[in-house]
Amino acid sequence: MKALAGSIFGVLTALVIAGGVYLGLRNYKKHQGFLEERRGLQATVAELKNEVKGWNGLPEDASRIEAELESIKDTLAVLETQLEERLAARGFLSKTPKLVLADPQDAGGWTVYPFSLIVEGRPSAVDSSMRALQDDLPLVHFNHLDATLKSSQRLKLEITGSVRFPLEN
Amino acid sequence: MIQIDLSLPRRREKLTSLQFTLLFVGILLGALVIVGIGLVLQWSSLNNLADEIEDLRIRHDSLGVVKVELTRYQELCSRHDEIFLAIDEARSVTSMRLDILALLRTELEPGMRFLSARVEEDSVVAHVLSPSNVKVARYVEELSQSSFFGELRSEPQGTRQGLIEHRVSLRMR
Repeated sequence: MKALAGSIFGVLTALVIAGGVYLGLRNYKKHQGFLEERRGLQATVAELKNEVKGWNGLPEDASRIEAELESIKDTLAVLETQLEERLAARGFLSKTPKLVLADPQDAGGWTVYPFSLIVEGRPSAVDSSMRALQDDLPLVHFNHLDATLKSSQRLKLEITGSVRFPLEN
Repeated sequence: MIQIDLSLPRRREKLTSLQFTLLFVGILLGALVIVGIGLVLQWSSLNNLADEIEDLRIRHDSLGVVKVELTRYQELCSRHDEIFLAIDEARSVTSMRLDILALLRTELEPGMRFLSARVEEDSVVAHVLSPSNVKVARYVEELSQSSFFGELRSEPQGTRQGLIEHRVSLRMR
């Protein structure tokens, strides 16, 4: 009698435990998608938190930097449209100024306009004209300068260089 | 010899059927309660998942906005610095080349004449006419005082218009 009762209760207890485990696992599987989503979100949030650590909103200089950047970009955009005439204007010293402006090339976020320019005039005038060109086109680069004194009062300067502009202009 | 048995007589207690049944009912109920509590806790935790995920999404979105702001600011600073640095660099290089060209003429000794010069990225070659080698030596000496040049060399190239032509090679510092 006791053995029979023990067996019945033993089986019942085992069934209860098995049922609980089954229900638990079924629930877990049912919510597995949510659990993975939570894990993923927790990881992303931790990563984002780490990335923005120490950031307390836009610094005060942000608007100044943005304004300066916009202003210089606008200026450079205007200069780019006037590039040829500004370079040619520097040849005013010569009787026959010679400007060769090549097609622009894109290089590392910049549009590069290679050019060669020949100017001729009094050495001091050539020098000031070239310094003025630098003010006119702040991103002008002189790669090679070939200077030849034609007479005591005339210097012929051949410049090979390039003018750069930010690509987004 | 007298032997005394001091052990207490053991009385074997047997559980009655009722006690036996009650013990197993207790075990069964205990198991039921434990499994039930476990399942309730699991359900409660899983039911909170949706809220937790919603909170995490909100946090994620707000951090995302902050990150966009931060990235935009960093890009702005980087572009600003890049353009202004490029302007400074261009100005400095261009000025230096014009200064070198001017220096080649202004440092000429009396009687010397400048013929030509080629200014390149890291070197300069100038051709000058001089009445004597001593003057060229002084000219090269003067040029060497400037901060532009590291190595200077002059070689006579023959005579021209009654003066000695010199090829002066200068290497930038």
